[in-house]
Amino acid sequence: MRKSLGGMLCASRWWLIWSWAISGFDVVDMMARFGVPDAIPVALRRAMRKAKSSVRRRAGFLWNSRTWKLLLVPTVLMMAADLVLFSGHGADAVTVAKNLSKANLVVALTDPMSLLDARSPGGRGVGPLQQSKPGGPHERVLSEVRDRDPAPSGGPVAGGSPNATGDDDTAPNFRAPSNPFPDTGIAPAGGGSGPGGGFGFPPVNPFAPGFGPASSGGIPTPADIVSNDPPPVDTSTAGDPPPGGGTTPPDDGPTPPGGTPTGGTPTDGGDPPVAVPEPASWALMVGGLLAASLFLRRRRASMMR
Amino acid sequence: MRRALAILLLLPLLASPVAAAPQDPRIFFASGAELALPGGAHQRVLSMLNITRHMSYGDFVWNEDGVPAGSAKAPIWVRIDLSRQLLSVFRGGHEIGAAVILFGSDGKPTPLGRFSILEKDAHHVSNLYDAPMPFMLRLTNDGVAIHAANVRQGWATHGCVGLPPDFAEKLFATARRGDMVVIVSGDAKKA
Repeated sequence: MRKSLGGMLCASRWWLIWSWAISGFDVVDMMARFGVPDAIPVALRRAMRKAKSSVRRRAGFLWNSRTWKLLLVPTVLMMAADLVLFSGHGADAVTVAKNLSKANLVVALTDPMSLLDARSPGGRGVGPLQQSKPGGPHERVLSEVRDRDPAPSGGPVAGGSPNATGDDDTAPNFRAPSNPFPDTGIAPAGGGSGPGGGFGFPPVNPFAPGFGPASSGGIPTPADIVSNDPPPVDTSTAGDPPPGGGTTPPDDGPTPPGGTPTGGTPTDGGDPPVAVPEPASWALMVGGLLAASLFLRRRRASMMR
Repeated sequence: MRRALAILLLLPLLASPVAAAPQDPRIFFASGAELALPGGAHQRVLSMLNITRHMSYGDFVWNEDGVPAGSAKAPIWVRIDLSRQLLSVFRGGHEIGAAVILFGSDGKPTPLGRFSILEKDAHHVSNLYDAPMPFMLRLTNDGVAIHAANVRQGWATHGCVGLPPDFAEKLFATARRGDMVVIVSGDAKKA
């Protein structure tokens, strides 16, 4: 059936042959009747005679013969298909016909999903799955962070598409990313923690100019930093800081000021800490100023001489 | 006599020449087609790779033949269909790559939605799992990414999208930061 369909679509290539055959059938008939040497002049004479009323004869011949009626109908249909399919992107249909069954042909011309269905290895089967990570699941962060509870359909989707709704291809099982730490016990990284907040120190700068009273939950108060000691580090997440963390169990000891000692993913909700030079940097800067002033003084002294 | 000749002329039509014709690399949509995106949006598709066989795990196709020269520098976008376990790469409306993927297991589902490529790292090693993730294209800040993996039947990831390594390398070389990645369930029952 597929071959027949493809043949129908490619039949316009044979249209010229058919046209020649219609006009040359008489010649062929005479060649069989009189033999080849005599057929040519006889055919020429007959062709000259026929040319006088060729149109009327041809039309009458076509419409009076049942065989040619049967041939004419598919020929006209194929010419129409030729005009439609072989103009512009018509070859696409031929390509589709070459590779798809008839049932998929019409669908594939309008719906790319049918092509995806044709190439898909199928859905994932039911049963235990082999984890692709070597050694099984070994995750450094607490599981609450990366567990995504199935959300009701129509919920928001991820990745900054707040206008997304849950239709066929939307995200029914994902939580909005605006609050990646919604559960209790998960401290928002924006509560004072920033890019530097993942190493157990509060992301505040006591040397920063303009440092003043802290707002609630954000910059700590001076009383919180008067000791200059780093806050206690959560032992469950100490060591190699996990990225994208920022989690602390609900009853897991005191929370350091300015956020949790984990994390490292900059999120909204807090100003990043201001960079302040360390003593070595201060010393280098002061040394540079002294060197510059000494150089200028020497040059001025040499010019005075 | 005429009927016999007519039948002889009809015979070539029945024996289609399509079997000897080479397979075209892509299928064009004459009037264009559209793929649904999250949020009710649609992305116009002009052609797709001519892959009509069932792809196996680890299979991929990357073919930019037939893509108009004007689309050579167009940004790509990636469509990941979880239910069909397929990833398709489009450039200028023309599909240039397709591969079978791995995705997150039920405990660690792959998030759905529209994302942007946040980071590229060809030699990334996960600090969550201590596992190499070559040709990583980060999608979320909590660790979901597209990366090379051993794509085999019955395997799953922890939420990432695993690709055959060779395909991941090609995608890594083609994708740029900010390119759109759409992850859809592709299953109407889940909608």
